Amino acid sequence: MNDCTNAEIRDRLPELLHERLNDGVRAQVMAHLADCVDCRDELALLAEVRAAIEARTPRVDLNFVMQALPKPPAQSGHAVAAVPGVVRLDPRRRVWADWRVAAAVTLLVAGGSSVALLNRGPSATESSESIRAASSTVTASASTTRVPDSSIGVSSSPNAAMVAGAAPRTQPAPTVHPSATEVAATTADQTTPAVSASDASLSNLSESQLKALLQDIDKLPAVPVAEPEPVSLRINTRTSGDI
Amino acid sequence: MSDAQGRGKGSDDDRDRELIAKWRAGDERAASELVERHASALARFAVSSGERNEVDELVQDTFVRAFNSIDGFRGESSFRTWLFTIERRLLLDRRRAEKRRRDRDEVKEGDAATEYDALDSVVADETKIRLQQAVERLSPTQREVFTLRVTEGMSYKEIADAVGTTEGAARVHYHNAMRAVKESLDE
Repeated sequence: MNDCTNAEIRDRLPELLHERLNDGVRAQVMAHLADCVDCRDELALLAEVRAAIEARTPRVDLNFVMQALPKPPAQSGHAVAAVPGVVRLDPRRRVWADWRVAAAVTLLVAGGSSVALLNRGPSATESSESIRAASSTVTASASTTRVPDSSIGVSSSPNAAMVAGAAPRTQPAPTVHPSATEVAATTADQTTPAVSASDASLSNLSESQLKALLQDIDKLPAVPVAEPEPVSLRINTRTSGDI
Repeated sequence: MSDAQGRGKGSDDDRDRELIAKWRAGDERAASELVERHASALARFAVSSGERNEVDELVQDTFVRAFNSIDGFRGESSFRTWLFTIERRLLLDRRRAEKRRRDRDEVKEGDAATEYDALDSVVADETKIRLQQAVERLSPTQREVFTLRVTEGMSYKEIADAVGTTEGAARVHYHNAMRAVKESLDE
């Protein structure tokens, strides 16, 4: 079997066999074949080789092949935008997001409950009741926690809120004993305001009233549990005559 | 004659891309049609490359791998060419594994060939057997190029993409293979 010298035509024979030549090229090849016995032999050989390989090839079980194919991406839960601009989350990510939300809500509820329980602790209740019983004549508006320092002569009162029971137990121990006015100012009994710290100064009290007040205060239990530092009340009863 | 391939090829490629898009959108029937269109060609390539056993499994593995990595198909070649590339890699993996097993079991290579030839003689005539033997004697690359050209009518460019060589090298392999087959038949 000889080879034709026209390599270009020989190169097209497989494509002619598969009917893949355009009309112009196919016409050229067919014209050459009409005069070339070597190319006709080669074309026949190609057809035989093709037939031999096809005869040897088993029929493929298409169902067997298809049963193992993966699902299309749009059905397998990956992020696929069914609607433009909307991306579906992977279900695993959605579960994790749900857990995060649940954990955050639980933390908030637990934390809030703890703070509420601390604020309603027994020490605060006891101190309020003791204060109310001891100072029946001196009350103050709950909204007013500051008394003019010029009139009572005590140090500034950062512990006033704690005396009223509003501070948590973890608050550091006070360094200054609360003054009587602080206690009075933070006592929440608005029903019988004999003397209001907001609109009347202690300097308006008579000497006997002040003594009675001091005695009442001395009877009060120490509100801060920690040992307080000594403090000197600068309320001078001898100056009460100036009133 | 550089643009000789014009009949049917473009429409086949377009249909493949259309089916791939449908499958991506969730249409499982598109995958079935793609399998129907290309399974036989993959089987022919497997057989002509020397694969004798479990051709269905090889074709199945090829499609599974193709659909699992469909994002890697960028349409630079035809879908069928891409499938041949995948199948060829699987064939090479199989051959390596088979070689390791054969080395371990110390089975002589001629045993399997004898069994195959005996089986073929029942179902094929003498001419076909001679042709098959002539093709089997080709080097692996020559055989791949020759069979893709003859049984599938693929262009040199497509063959080069499928077997990982250049267009010019594919042309040389084809003509050398054709000469070797003719010589084998003339003996």
